Amino acid sequence: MAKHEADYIKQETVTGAVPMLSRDRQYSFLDLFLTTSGFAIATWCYTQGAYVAQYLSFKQMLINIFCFNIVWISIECIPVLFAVRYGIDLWIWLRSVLGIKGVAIFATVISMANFGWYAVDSQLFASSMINLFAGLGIPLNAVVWKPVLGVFCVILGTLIALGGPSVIKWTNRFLVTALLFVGIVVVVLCFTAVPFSEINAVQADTSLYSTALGRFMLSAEGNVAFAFSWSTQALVMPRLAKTERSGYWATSVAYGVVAPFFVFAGGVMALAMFVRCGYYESDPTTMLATLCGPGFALLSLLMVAFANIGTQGTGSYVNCMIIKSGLPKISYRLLVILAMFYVSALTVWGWVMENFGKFISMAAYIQGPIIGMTVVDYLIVKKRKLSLKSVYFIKGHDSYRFTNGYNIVGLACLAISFVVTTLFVYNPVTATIQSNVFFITTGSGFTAVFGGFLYWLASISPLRKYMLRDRDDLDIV
Amino acid sequence: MMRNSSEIEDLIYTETENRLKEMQDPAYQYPKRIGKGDKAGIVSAVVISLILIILCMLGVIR
Repeated sequence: MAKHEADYIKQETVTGAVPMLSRDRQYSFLDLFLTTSGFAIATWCYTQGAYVAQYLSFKQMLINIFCFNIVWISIECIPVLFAVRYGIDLWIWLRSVLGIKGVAIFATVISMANFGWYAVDSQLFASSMINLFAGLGIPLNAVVWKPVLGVFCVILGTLIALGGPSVIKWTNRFLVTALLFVGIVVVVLCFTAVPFSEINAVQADTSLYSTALGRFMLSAEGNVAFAFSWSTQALVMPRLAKTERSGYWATSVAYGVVAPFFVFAGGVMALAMFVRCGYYESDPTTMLATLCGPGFALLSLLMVAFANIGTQGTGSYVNCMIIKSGLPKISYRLLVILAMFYVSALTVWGWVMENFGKFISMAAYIQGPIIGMTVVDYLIVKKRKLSLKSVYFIKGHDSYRFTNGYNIVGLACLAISFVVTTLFVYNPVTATIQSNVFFITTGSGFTAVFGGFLYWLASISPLRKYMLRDRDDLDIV
Repeated sequence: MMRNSSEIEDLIYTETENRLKEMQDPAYQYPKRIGKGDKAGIVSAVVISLILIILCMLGVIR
């Protein structure tokens, strides 16, 4: 084999849809944990924390942030096990649930939505930088500098993404260790800057909803949507892990504990700001500078800069991989460059940042049914067995061609869940609760439960034959 | 050197086919599976979290 062909195949394995063999795996538990955490730690965590902090008591905030994330992340990460075993990502498996064309469409749509997070990320980077420069006595015109600094953040992240998993691994190995340390310091400083008894005594804002349960579940809606936001991206990197154990725990602890810890830190800072200044603040640099003095400006600058750039890089890699699983012929580098222009445009536009709550809920309504169907398909319907030859369309193996490349059953379950939840449980666009079911499952949670239920129901109906054409084609298990 | 779409497709197809053959070989070493302790850990984390959530929903934890 010519060297350039070998290089190309290596690139397609690491940054493409070719299955990764055991000998190709690069990531230990620590590597995957740090890389995933680097992806998970971004300043939008503080935005989320500040939002929740307003409406709940301290204890309820703590439970709301950690417990909803742990429940859903633990469940949605179960399919990490197939990602590690077969060296494939979620979207390759989803070819058997949605069909190859269904995956091409949803992989692209979801990644386009996911990139909205990176626009938020770069805007937070820009506003933090402007605040910090102002604190240092250098005022910057926000109209000019916000888009410039935001796009600068996107470009730096793109450079990391172009380096692939190896560069991402080494970038995050140092960054995340430092950031975790900084995060712990931040929480400790907040509790020492403002007495815990005063933070604990802050009365929840009741304007969100008239009952305590309503406020708790509306806050939970944000946290469930937050947990779901990782789902379609979470099962890309575990294919690099060396064992199922390291793949599962590194992924679930990063998304289920580390990310919520930074949401919690944001909540604590917002409460401390309220005690000190009488208003809630979500910009970590402003919070730290106010609570702990200008000496912490540098610390928060480093925290925000590194966190956002690291997230941009890892996020670009992951989402371009998702698109590639649906459109494998497009080169990874081209996708990363296109993503850079797209995220830059979103950053300058600013719509996602202005509609953050609606944005994460709407994205979760597409991701929720996919989570439910994936878990049910993996554990109950396909019983952890997939026809790898069919999923890669090897000649003579056509179990997953379905109807012209679309699995009508999977797509119908997704669409029905989306519509039913919006009409009868919770409308994320208008933020309207439609029924009491919301107070048990939240809207996003219902999409996952209902999507999984419908898919299971279909699998025990006459549609089973259509869904499970692969049972005589399970050569690799 | 830029490849055309068909060349890329063939290269990926052939490599994927070879890799799947390797995975089908009984001697192929799959990554180590998770154990009972891992499963117990997952269930415990979910159950404990659900209990705390329910206590908040019922107003026991305020």
